[in-house]
Amino acid sequence: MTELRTATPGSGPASDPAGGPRTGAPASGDSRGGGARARSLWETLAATQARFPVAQVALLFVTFAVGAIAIEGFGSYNSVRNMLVLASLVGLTAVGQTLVVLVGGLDLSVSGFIVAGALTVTQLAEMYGWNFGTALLVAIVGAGLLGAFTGWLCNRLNIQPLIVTLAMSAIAVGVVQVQTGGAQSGSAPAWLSQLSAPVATTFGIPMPPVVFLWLAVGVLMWLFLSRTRTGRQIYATGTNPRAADLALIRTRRIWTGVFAFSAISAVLAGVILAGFAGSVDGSLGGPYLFQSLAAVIVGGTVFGGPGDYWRTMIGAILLVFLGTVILGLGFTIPDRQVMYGAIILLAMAAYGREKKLSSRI
Amino acid sequence: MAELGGPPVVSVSNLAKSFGPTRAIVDATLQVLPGEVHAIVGENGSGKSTLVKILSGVHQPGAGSLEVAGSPARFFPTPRAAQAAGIATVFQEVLTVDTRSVLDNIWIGLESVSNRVRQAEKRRRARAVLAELLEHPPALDDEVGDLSLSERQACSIARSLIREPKLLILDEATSALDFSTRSRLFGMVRRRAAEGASTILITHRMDEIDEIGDRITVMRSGSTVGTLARGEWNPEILVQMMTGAAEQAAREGREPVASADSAVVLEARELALRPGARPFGLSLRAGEVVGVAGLEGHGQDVFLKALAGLEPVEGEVERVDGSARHVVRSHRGASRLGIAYVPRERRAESIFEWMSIVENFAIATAQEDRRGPFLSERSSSTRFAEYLDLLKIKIGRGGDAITTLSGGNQQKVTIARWLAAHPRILILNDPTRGIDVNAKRDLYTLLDVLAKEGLAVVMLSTEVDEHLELMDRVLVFREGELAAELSRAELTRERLVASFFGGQSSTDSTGTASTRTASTGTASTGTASADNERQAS
Repeated sequence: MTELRTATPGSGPASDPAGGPRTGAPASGDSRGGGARARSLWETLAATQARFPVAQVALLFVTFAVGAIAIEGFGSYNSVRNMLVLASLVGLTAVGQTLVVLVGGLDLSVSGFIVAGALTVTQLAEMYGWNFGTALLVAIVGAGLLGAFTGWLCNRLNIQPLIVTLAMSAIAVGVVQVQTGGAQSGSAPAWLSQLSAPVATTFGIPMPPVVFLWLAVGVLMWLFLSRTRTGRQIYATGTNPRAADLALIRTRRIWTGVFAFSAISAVLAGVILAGFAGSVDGSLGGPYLFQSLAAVIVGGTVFGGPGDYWRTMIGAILLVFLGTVILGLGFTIPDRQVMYGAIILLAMAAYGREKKLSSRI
Repeated sequence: MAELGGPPVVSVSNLAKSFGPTRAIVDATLQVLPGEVHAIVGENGSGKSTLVKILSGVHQPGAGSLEVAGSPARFFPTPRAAQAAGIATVFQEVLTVDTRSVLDNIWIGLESVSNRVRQAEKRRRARAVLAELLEHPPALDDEVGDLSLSERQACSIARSLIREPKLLILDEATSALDFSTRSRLFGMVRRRAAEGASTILITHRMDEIDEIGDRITVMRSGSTVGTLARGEWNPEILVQMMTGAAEQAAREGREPVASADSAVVLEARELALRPGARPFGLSLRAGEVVGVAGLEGHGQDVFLKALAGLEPVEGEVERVDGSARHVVRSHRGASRLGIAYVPRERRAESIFEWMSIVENFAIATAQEDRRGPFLSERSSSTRFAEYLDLLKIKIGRGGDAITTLSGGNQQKVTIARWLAAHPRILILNDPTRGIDVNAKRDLYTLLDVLAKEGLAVVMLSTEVDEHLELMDRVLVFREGELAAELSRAELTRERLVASFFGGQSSTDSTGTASTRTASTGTASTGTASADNERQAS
């Protein structure tokens, strides 16, 4: 009942109906007294955190310190390098997911497209005698079409991307597996493996190319999101779809494009993962679906924004550090799963609190 | 009215309620006697709904006292408490759970674990209430979503009636009902009155009040200004009480810019805002400021959206530019033709909450800031600076979040967003709603400047004063039709408000005709005179 709005606008009480009677415009001299000091402290914290993920970076340092003290060899160059390789893989699978979350969606087809991409460049290429480039092109075009359809469908029919992407994931894997006859083997070209092999070097630097690739992707994503018109429109679409429509942003195109992009980026990540894993099977993508989503959320990108890909990068590194420390301290992989889940819950709870605050002040 | 005597069912005095800086109720006093039908009337925003929401336990008052059945009582902390005290409220918004059955909807909220009613009993009572309320009641197991609007509202009324409340509050609840259901509802209200149960009726229809009202309390700007018994009221007195006409000195209006020679920039032909509505036309000239008025929900909103290409209606909206003519077919098309639309709900339809002030400004015209593949923030800021002075926008830094601004400044940024598209026609959907007085003044000044630059402005406002002060002419809508068109010379407070309620818009209204004929006769006389005026101009 308290949700009811008065039917009288204008000078009436519901003058800011979206806020309802509980909230007021910033300068409205809010009548809710008390707690002003506590709120301003919260405000400051929330405002700082909104500009830069202070909490995540602090946690990153703490984790690293704990690891370096408690685990033999954790702080060594090799160990850090290996963790960065793992973080790049997680980060690369989360490129599309970041954009999808920014427009207010969720992409569960990441795992399916990873597998589809990996199988296409390994097995299909072998079966049909395609060269690597052709196989890659086929995978990109196929994924782009399926992803675009997903985004279009979700926006057109206003349905939950959660379900649609789950279905699309099954379709993507299925289509490729029908071709390969379900046989799940296939190996990546050697040069592809060199991309992410920890011992590989990049122009003489003892760090595998995938880390630099990730860095480059990060810079491009930053430019895209913060400096281009499309980037701005992605943010606007996620923040307030209705206002975006009214501001003449083609929100359906944005959804279509973002989901297509997510599918393509998952395919490309799958190709790199095929190189990293050496052999490919249907379970390749599973862990990365969860980790990509966790990296986005932990990095501080919120459904419908705000957020950024560089936050996801911090999130990916934090996750890998944490995971390594946990395993290093003698916990098991299932323990680590529990921890990942708990972190996501904590992060979501924190943003929930922050959101409430921001709509209050 | 049944003369039952006894203490008032509820009595509130010196009630006050503020929402932030807005004083929704300043000083309200109301007594509802046993067995009476008590109407509350007033303009939009005069505090009627807030008053009944306090009585229903939805809002808590800032000050005031309450007596229930003659003894002092605490204000109801929750809607449930109000219901327990025998007060049931039906709101204007149709509140049903569309995926559940009629039976479930009627009994919703009534049952608790400790208070179970037998299924057969539930069905019997629901059937009885529905049979009295509806000529053709739906089956109890029908899904409510499949029913008509009127039937759904009947379900929510039945939900209140089944509680057999001592006080039934109908807050504009009759507007969604069809004629037969409304008559039946009034029959039930009369029967209840004879049994000693009271009803508060909020309605914008004078004929309804004339039909069943025993007394009327009039509200103006958050205060109750008087209570009249049957026989003491007539339309003139009510309008005078609602507007406070006698106390208000006429305000100086804006100097008109447009003349009959100004170029026509927009023409609408044969617009019908709802199926079956009387079509009307409109021609808009450069430099004109046209007001759109009427009671809430009578088609004004649809009209604005039709002009902006946002809502398809029957008829045609055509942008005229010299000898070129283009039909408006979509919002995007309208925008390309130089028609800009500033939406009504600032927060839901305009503001990108966590984005910066400058980003909020530039979002619709970002192509102008493109330098190669990238956006130039300096270009956005430079463009924005032009509007800072024009709109008197007060900001800290352009990079701050839009939410750091006051509502008034947010609204100014939104208007700047659309002015930056260099429109020839600006459509404003209630732009001053919920913003402070100074920001309003700034907007009024802006409109004058824009009109002088040759922009045509169509502005919906729920405030009578704005129409009197700003508009070259005002279109009054009633029940989805253009009911009256008042030119600058004809524009007075009494006439404008009277036309909202269906009073005659011409001066020859002698006041001898009963309200009932005045209101039913409105549509034809009002529209006819509007047609004449349009042809004259």
